Amino acid sequence: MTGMHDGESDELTLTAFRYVAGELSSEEQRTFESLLEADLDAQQALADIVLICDAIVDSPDAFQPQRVQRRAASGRSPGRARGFAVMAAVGAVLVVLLALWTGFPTGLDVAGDGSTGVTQGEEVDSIVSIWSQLGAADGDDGVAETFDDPDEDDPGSEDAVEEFPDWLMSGVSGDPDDSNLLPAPGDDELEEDES
Amino acid sequence: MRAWLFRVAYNEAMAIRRRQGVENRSLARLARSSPKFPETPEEAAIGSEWKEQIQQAMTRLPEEQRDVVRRRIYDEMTFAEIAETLGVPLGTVLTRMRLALKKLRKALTE
Repeated sequence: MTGMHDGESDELTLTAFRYVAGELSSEEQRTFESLLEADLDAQQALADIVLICDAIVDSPDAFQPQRVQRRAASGRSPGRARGFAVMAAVGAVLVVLLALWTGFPTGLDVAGDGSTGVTQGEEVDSIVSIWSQLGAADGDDGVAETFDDPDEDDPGSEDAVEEFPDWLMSGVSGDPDDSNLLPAPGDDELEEDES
Repeated sequence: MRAWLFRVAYNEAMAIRRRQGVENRSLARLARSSPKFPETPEEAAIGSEWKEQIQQAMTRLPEEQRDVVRRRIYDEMTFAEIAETLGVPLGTVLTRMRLALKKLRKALTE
């Protein structure tokens, strides 16, 4: 730097950099090399460029702030990813605890005894209540009756027994006094003839 | 001492140019392939001092200038490639590099 204007010096520095980097054309290169033979500023600029490049290459920490920013911008920061994982885990735990606290059936065996944290009576009441509401909406008498008379369609009930013919009941019971109730052979044929 | 540093650096620059040729645009490889300047403990101390000065100057550069230096030296991108990547004119990239080198050179004289 021997009295050059700043603009000229800066341009010379950039030219020296491009010379070291091999970016000059053949003509530019010859021009710069001829300048190097006599111009102390050119020599100084070239020497400084070598020192600067060597220092930068040996000091990646000089770029550390930017590298941190680039990682943050790209979302690839290991610390950030770890933070997301921790937050997701905490969120999942909170959801499970909230579900247990509110009595929502989770299917989890909280007590470790096979129960799910919800008593069977509560489940039945809940189902009956829902079923009754649905039945009322359809115009039925309600599900309560359905649950109150579970033997309504049971063939073993008295009403069902009355529907069986006497001859069949006598055959099942094996009582000989009722044997006359059995249809005699040929009765079917007589009935057909009469008809 | 600065005269010594200049002489060594300049001679090294010439040696690098002879070894690598003008086609090699990797400054990182150029610098890594160069032998270490200091040969005595005193020279090593001087070398550490100017390196530290340059490194501190690097951290003080504006982000846009430091980005151009990093892309050019570490990523081995040409100025044209940097301009295209950043979406700025080539002249803007060269200006940023010019300003950055000016500040780094100034750090050597401080």
